[in-house]
Amino acid sequence: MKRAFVLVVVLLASVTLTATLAFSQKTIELKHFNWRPEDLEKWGKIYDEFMQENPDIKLIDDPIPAANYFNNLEINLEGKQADPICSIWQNRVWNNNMFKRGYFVDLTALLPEFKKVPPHHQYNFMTNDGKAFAAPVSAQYTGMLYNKKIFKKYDLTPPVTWDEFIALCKKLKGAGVTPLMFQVKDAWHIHYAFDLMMKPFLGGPAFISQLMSGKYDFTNPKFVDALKRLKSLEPYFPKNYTGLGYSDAQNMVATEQVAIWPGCGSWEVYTIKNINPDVELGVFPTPVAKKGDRAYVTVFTDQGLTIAQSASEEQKQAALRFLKWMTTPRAGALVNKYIGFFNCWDTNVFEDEALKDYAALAGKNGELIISDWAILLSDGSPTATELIQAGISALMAGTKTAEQVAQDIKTGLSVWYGKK
Amino acid sequence: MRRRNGTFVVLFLLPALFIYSTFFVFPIILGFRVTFYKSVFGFLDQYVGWQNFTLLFGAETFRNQFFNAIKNNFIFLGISLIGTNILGLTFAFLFSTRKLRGAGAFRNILFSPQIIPIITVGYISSLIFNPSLGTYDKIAGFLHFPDLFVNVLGKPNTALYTISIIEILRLLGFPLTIYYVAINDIPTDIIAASRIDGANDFRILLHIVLAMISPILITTNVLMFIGSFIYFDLIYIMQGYLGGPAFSTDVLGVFFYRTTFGGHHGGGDPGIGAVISMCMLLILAIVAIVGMLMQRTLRRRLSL
Amino acid sequence: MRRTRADTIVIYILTVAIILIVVYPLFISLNVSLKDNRDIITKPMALASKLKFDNYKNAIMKGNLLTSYKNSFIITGCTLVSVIALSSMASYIFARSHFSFRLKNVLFFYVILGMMIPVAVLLIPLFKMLNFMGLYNTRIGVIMVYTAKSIPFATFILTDFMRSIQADFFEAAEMDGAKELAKFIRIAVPLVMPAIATAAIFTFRDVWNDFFMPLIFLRDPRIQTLPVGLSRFMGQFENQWGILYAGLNLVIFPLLLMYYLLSKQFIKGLTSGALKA
Repeated sequence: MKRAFVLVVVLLASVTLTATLAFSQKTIELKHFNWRPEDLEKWGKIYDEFMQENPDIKLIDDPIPAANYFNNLEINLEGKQADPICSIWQNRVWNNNMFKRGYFVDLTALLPEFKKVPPHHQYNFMTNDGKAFAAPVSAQYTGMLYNKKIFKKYDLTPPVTWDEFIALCKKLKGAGVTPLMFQVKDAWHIHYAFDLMMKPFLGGPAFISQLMSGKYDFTNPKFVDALKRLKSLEPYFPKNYTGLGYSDAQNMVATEQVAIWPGCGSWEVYTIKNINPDVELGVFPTPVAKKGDRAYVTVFTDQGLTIAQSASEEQKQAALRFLKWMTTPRAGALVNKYIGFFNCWDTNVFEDEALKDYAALAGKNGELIISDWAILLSDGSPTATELIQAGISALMAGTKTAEQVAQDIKTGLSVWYGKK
Repeated sequence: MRRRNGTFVVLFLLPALFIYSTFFVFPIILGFRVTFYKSVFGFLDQYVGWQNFTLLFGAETFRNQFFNAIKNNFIFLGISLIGTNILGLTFAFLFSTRKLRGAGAFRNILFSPQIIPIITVGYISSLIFNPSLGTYDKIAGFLHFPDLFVNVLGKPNTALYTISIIEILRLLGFPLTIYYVAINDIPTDIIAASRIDGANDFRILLHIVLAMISPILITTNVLMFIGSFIYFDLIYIMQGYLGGPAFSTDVLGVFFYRTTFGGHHGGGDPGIGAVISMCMLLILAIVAIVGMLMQRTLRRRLSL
Repeated sequence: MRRTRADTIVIYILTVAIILIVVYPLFISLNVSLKDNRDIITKPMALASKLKFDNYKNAIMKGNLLTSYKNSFIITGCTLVSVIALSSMASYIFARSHFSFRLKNVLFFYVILGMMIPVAVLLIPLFKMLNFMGLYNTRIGVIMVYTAKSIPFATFILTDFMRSIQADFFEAAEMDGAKELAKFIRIAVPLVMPAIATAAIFTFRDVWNDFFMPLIFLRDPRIQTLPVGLSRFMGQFENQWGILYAGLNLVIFPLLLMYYLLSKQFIKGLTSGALKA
C-alpha cells in the first residue's frame, strides 16, 4: 500500500513539474557589458521598455568602471566568456582588430537597419569593405561648456575669435572668477580639451588625413604653437589645477566655481545637473583664429552594441532582436530621454538647454570630424593618447617646453608610426 | 625506516608543491614566454625574438621611462625603508627597554593601515591632499607653508616624496611589531649590564641591540624591499596609470602595468611588459639572495 | 628605572603625534561620509553638521556590499585553511634536519622564490589556464590561485620558526613510540602557533584586499569580492563623495574591529611563542 502511495506521489510530482516547465515561458537572460556604471539605472529604463514588448527576454546591465573596461573585454572575448552583448567605443582601429579576430558576430546581413543610420555614424563600427559589426547607439559632442548665470552677471557674450576668448577670460579673472576649468590628474580627458581648442589652429580634415598617412611631423611649428597656446591659458586655470582630477572638474563646474569648461563632453550634462540642478549651462563653438574661419566640431560615435560570437545560438537570436529594436529612431528618442546622450540618427530632441546648444553646434557648421586625432593613432605602443597626455602633463608642470614635448611625441611614436 | 620516511616526506611536500607549481610557477613561465613575441592582447601573436628587449633598452621613449622608473623606485624605497627602520627601531627599542605602557595599543593602531584595502588608503589620501576638497592644503595655507608644500601631489618635485611619506606611515606597523618582539627577546641582563657600565640608550641601541637582532633586521628589510619594489596599487589609484605628474611617480610597477595593459583606451605591448617584469624579478632575486646569505652568516655568528 | 621624567614625556608626545597622524585619515573619511555633497565641495574644513546618514543607506542598498562580504569571507577563509595546512606540512619537512634528501634545499629555494614575483605577470597566462580547466569565473579557481600565491611566504615563516624547535622534543616523542604524523600534530603544530598566526594575518591581508585577480577571474557579480564590488560602486558614485566614503567606511571599520578583537590573541601568541623558542 505504502509503495503504491509513494509511486502516485512521484508520478503526480513529475507531471506537475513537466507541466510547469512546458507552460512557463522560458526567459532568455542577456547581460550587457559596458563601461558606464553611472548609467545603470538609466539603461534599466530603456530595457524596461524593450522587455514590455519582449517579455521572454531579460536584459541585465553589467557595467564595470571605464579604466579597466577594454582590458577586461579583450580577455573575456578571447576566453569566450564575454557577455552576449558588449559595448564598444569609437576606437575604430581597435574595433576592426577585434572583429578580425572573430570576436563579434557579422551583422552586415543580419542587421539591415544599420544601413539606415546616417553614414558618418556607421564609420566607427564597420570595416573598410563595408562589413558592419556593431549597432550604433549613441554619439557625443565635446564643446566649450559655460555657465550662463556668470556670463549674465558680468555682461558677457560667447566669444567667436580666440582674441575675444582671451579678453573674456581676462575680464572674468579680474572680477575674481576662475575663467577656465582644466585638470591634469585624470589624464584621459586632457586630449579632449587640447583637441577641441586647437582644432582651428592645427587644421581640420587636412590635418587628420596627414596624420593617417603616417607622414605627420609633430615637431612642425603649427603643432608646437598649439602646445604653447594651451600653456598660455594657464593663468586662467584654477589655482593648483595640476592636483585636480576629473571629479573635481565635474563638481567645480556644478557648484559654479568656474565659468567655462573647454572640452566638456555632452555625456557630462546630466551628471552635472545631478550634482546641482540649478546650474544654467550653455555651449559655444570653439573660438577660431580670425573672424569667418570655420569652427570645427568634435563629434564621435560613442557607443555601439556588439553580439559576442561566444554566446549561445539562442542568446544570439535574442540579442539580435534587441539590437534591431535599438537601431531605430524610436530607440534613439529613448536614448535622448533617459540617458541624455545624442543618438545616431541626428534626430535629437532635448529639453535641456546645454544639450540643445551642443546639437546646435553641428547645425551651424554641418562639418563633422571624427574626433580626437590621438585616438586614431593608437595602433601601436606607445599610443598617441599616452604621449600627448604625458606630454601636456609635463608641459603644464613646467618640466618640459613645448618644443621638447613635441619632440617626445615624435620620438615616442617613431617606434611604430609610419612604418607599415 | 628510511623508506617509511620517504613516503611521509612525499605526502607532506606534494600538495603544497603541486598547487604552487600548477597555479603559480607554470603560469609565470608561460608569462615569460611572451617576452619573445609581439603580442596584442597578451596572447602570442608573432614571434619576434629579441625585439622586445631591444625596444625596451633601445627605443628612447621606453628606455627613458624605464630608467626613470628605476630611479623613482629607489627614491621611494630609500625613503620608506630608512624612515620605517629609524622610526620602527627607535620606538620598538624605547617601548621595550623602558617597559613603557601602551605598547600593545600603539602597535595595534600603527598596524591598522596594513589591514584595510589599499584602495581605501589611496582614496582617503587623495582626498586629504586634494587642492580644492582636502584639508591639507587648507591647513598649509593657514600655517603659511612655503609654496613648495602646497598641492604636493600635483607637482613633479614633491609628489613622489609625499607618497613615500604616506607609505612610511602605512608600513611602519610592520617592522615596529617585529622589532618589538625581537628586542624583547634580548636577555635583559645584557642590557642591564651595559647600563651599569654607563652606556646611554643611544649607544646601547647602536652597538648591542642592532647587533643582536641583525638577522631579523635583514629578513624584515628584505621583505619590505620586495613589497616596496613591486609597489603599484597606491600610486595607480592616486596618480593614475601615467605615474604623474610628468612621470615623477612612475615606478616600475606602474610602468609595467601601463606597458602591458595600456591606458584608458587600449594600447599596450605585453611583450615589452614581460621583459620589464623579468628585469624586476632579476633585481629582486639578487637582493633576496644577498639578504639570505647575510642573514645566515649573522645567525651563525650569533648562535648561542 | 632612572629614566628622566622629561625624556619619557617627550617619547609619549611623539607617540601620540604619530598615532594622531595615522588616525586622522580615518576621521576625515568618517567626516566626509556624513556630509552633504555640496558641503563637501564648498566647505572642506567643516565638521559634518547635518549628519547625513542617507549616504550610508545609499551605500548599503546600492553597493551590493553584503554579497561582496560573503564572497570575501568564503574565498579568504578557504584560502587560509589550505595555505596553513599545506605550508605547515611542507615546512615540517623543510625545517627538520631529520629529513634530508638531495633536493631539499633546492626545493626550499624554489618555493621561496615565489615571494618575489609581481603578480601582474601571472594574470593573462593564468586566465588561459583557468579557462582551459573550466575554473574561470569560479570561486574554487580563485582559491587555488590564492593558495598557490600565498604558499611561499607562509612556508618561509613557518620553516624559520619550526627550525627553532629543539630536536629533543621530537626525540622524546619518538622514544615514546610516536609516529611521524603524531609528532607533527602533537608537537610541531602547537609549538608554531605564533608563526601560524603571523602567516594567517599576512595571507588574510593579501587575499582579502586583492583587487586585480577577482576583477579578471570573477565575472559574475554574485561571486565577486569586496574590493571589486567597491570599485564598481565607486564607478557609479565617482563624484558623490559622501556615498563613496560611506561605502569605504563600511569596509574599513568592520575590518578594523575584527582586527582589534583578534589581535590580542595574535600578539599574545607571538610574544609567548617567541619567549618559548
